[in-house]
Amino acid sequence: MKSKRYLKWQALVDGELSPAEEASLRQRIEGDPEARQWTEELSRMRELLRAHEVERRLPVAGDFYWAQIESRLKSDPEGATSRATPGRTWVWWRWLAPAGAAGMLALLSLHPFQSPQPTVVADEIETQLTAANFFTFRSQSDGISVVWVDTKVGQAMSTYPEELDYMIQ
Amino acid sequence: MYLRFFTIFLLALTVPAVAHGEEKGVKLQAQLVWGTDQPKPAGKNLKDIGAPLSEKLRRVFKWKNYFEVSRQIIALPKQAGQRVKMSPKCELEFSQCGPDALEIKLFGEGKLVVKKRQPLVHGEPIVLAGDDKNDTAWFVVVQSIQE
Repeated sequence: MKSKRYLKWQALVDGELSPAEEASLRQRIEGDPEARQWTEELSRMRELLRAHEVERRLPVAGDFYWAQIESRLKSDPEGATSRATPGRTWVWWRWLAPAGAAGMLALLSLHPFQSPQPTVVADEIETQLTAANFFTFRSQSDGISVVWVDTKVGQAMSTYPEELDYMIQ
Repeated sequence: MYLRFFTIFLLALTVPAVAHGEEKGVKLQAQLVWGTDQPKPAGKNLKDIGAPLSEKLRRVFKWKNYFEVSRQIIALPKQAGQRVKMSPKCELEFSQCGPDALEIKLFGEGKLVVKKRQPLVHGEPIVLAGDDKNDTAWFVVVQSIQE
């Protein structure tokens, strides 16, 4: 029963109640010191999280991963390329791999190293959009770099502050 | 006499070094592409983007079909920016930042949507993209092309 009360208070702080429910609950909370303390703490917590939560940006949207997995599964349905057949080849490979690695190391140690060329590292993204997330992704194997502009971050708040659907007109 | 030889020697050393350090201009191709699961709509001036790019996009994105809305070829001189219009409300601005890197600014209705600096690798498109109406998407595909 008590947990239901807590959930109501949480819903109030989250702005999930109807105006009538909110007004009635606020009236009740005025006369309830425990409820007042809880809602104040929740509100403070909410403000702190909003102000100081570290923004975590995914290097790539989940869709990209799934698209990659799906396309690879489709291109190789039998898994023929990924399945190794143990046998004589494997025995040779077991000896050749370390020998090759040792040879490469020896070659590298003889190679006169040059100072590395300066390369421009992709830096932070800049924007004038007020509500947008960006996912950057580079696939070396596919030879493509992507910046996905996600303007639907406000979807949960039922507002679309800045749609970009005018790009193609 | 020795001074003349020394000057020529110094010049011989300096000229290739300067020429090497000089940043060359770059030729770019920018395409505004529309991604959809539907077939090409009738009455719209959309072109196929070609199998290689289409396949590349399909490997990364979920949409089945990709159509070119517009295309621009940009001869970007060194140390100078260039702005091109991809659609009435979509513009791109390019500038070189270093010998092998590109700065791309994408504007929507005059507002900066995204600015990105990216090493320019030949044959590797840089794609700026986002959602469009009805579960479709827009893509700005930039790649260097041979002079």
